[in-house]
Amino acid sequence: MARWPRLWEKKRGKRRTGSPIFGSVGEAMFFAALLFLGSIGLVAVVASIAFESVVATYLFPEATYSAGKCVVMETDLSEKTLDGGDTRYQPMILVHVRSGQRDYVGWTYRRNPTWYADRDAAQKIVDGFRPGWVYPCWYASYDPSTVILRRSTNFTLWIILLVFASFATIGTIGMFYTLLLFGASAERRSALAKSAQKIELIGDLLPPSAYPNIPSAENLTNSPGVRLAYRLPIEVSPAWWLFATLLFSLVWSGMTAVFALAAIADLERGEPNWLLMALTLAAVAVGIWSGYHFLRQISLHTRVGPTYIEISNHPLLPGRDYKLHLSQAGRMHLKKLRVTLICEEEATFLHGTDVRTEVAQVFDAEVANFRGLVVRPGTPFEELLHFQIPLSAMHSFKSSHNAVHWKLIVDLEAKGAGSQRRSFPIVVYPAVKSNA
Amino acid sequence: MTDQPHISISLDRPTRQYAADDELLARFEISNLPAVNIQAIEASVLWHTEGTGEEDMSAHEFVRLIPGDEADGDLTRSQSLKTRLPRSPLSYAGKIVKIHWVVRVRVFVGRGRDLVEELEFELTQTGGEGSGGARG
Repeated sequence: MARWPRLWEKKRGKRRTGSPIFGSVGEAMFFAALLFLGSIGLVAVVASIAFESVVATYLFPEATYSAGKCVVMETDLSEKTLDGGDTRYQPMILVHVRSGQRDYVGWTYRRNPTWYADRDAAQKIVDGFRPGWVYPCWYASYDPSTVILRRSTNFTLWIILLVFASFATIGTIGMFYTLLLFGASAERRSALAKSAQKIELIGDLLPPSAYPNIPSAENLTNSPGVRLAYRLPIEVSPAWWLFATLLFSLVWSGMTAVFALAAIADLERGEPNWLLMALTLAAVAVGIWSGYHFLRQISLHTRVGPTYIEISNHPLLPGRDYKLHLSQAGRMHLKKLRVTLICEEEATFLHGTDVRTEVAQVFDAEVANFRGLVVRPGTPFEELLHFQIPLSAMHSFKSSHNAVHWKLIVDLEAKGAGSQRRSFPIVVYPAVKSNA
Repeated sequence: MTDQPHISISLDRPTRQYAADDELLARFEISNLPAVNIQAIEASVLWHTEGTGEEDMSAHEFVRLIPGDEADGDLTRSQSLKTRLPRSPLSYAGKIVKIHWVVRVRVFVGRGRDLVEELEFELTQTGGEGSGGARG
């Protein structure tokens, strides 16, 4: 009995379910819908403006206006005094316009009244119009009383046009791409994608690598070391964690202040809002905790200073020995300082609608282990170490959903400052054939 | 079962072990399938991942043959595919990530149906031993 093909794909161990044909059809339908929506939207907006439809005249009135010529008859500066005593000025221009057989004479400048706090600025505009001269103006063809001398840029209209144009463009490219690859095998798609990289323009952006799927070591070698060739960058700087903690503390404190002010205002009016007060007290407690946490982090990171690792070579090759210079600054009593070389596999997969990442450590070699160190300000703990990449080691690898990472890890345990782990990524290349 | 359509693939090295920059020669032949039924053949040398993550794949070498490519239009005869292998990624049998190198032959027989056969080989640092994990 023939089985109904699965509409969507699932991964079950080595087996994948789903129909590539349905996948391509679904993809084509998605892009067709985008193209349809974008095209219809563009045509609707442009036609609506061209034919001065009710919607267009309501939403973007100035865009529907026709260009014409007006004779300036008189100029004036309108004034109004605000409640606080300040004065505002508005340029006013008396114009004569003829639309078909209809004549209209009226005061105008912009569609929306524009009041200036600076008299000179308003006067400068008025002085730009001389009675008896002819100036370009715009008005609705059905009503010359809408005449204006200055048009405003309608950002909303441009954004709407841009959104519809983007839909139409993405839909067109997507449809073309889907039709080109309709029914194509995964290998053919991959080969086409690879060929696209050879196109000069794209090739310039993505230079071909002698070692495909090995991450670039460029960012790891652009910082020269003091003792050895390269100083390795830390994977996640503690400064970012400190900044995140500070940001949370500030945002939370601001929110708590708003709650507190509202609660106090209610209390002063003699109408206490007990729910708001309870929420405010809870927010104050979290605020105090976040402030304490931030100060503790500051204390920890000033006590446990930065860790620097420099290495003699990069990228690294299996079976070779390398030098490593470790420098640990700060002001602390270190119970433990351990340096390890690790290799991790990383796999990203879909679990329902979530994207999940699993990491498995597959190699761990201790490079050094120190105990009972005292680090004083100005005299960091320094040590020259050696390590080796195993001969049978897998090289670093990165593809869309899978990766193999190599790292040097520094684990610190300081008295009164808890444990910290600092990670320094490295790139391992495959061994050269002559080594065999 | 012998009259089922069949694709046979063989490599120039019986050990199926290659090193980076080595040249690989694969031969493939289709049997028990009339030549007129074959719309196209795609032969590729590719790597793909296996494991916990979504499968990634990249074709290193790809050829597509159609009946018009042959003088008599017979694609069932023995064909070959030659390529110089890249320096990476190497074959790998890790814990949650595995990398397999294969020669894959796909025969399109009409109505969107195809027959696929693949033969795995090892791409290693030395061409003689695989890297079965990052062991020290």
